[in-house]
Amino acid sequence: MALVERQVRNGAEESGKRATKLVLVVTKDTLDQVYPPLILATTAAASGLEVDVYFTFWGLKLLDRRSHRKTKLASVGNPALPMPNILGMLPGMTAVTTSMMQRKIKKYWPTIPEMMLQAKEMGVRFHACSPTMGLMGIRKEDLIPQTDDIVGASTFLDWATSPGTATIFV
Amino acid sequence: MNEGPARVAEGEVTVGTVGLLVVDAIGQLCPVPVLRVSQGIKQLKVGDEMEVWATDPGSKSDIAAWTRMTGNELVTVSEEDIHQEHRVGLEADVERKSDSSVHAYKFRIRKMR
Repeated sequence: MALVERQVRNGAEESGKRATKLVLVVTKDTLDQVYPPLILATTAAASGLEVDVYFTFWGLKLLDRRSHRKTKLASVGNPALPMPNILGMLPGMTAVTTSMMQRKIKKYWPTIPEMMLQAKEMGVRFHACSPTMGLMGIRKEDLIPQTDDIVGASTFLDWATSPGTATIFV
Repeated sequence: MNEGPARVAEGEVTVGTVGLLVVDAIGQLCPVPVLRVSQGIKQLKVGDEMEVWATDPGSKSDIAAWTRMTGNELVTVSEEDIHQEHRVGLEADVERKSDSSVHAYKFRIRKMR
């Protein structure tokens, strides 16, 4: 409880310097790597921050209408799953771990596409990474209509280094 | 034990009998309580207050942080044991406890801007 009080004091002392913009980078397209940035994006927008989300590499699949609704949970290489790791390689295991996790998540949170729409309604901006589009053969027409624009590393760095901005890479 | 929140449907914010906005986030996990608070406060005028109920242990710190970031005032925070009739929106993990009451945080927030 002392921790909470300390944070309250620090918050009051430093409120003059608080960032007003949040930039999130989403590089993965798995449930465990997508919910955290979306939770931060919606909460930041609800807290009055301006929010930009940069989708790059596998993260760009979230802006591709063909894969937008297909985020999975990896069954391989995830030792935190409640099963022997070797089973992760069996055919169909990704579908099993994904649906188990989705059932749990459903009790508390919207689906990823729903949460992305909610974020948009709250003013969050979605940006597609241009080199990833070239690399993965994703065309402009493939992007979901919630995509604000297509930008590259320099634009991202311009936002990330502007005053009053906090950047989080996921 | 206090009277508890006016009974509201899950996911909704309602105006209680005394004209107080009540937000029920019982059984919900972060970020849902804060998102409901931010939706609820839009319905208020500056100076009005709302009452928020939540069971997520992080909500005590989170709602305080949200009020600091948005410039609103956290008037009071209290901890209450609430009973079956007030357990709107509770999820299976909470229900599984044999205890008939559940520990909840009750926040009073005043809109300042």
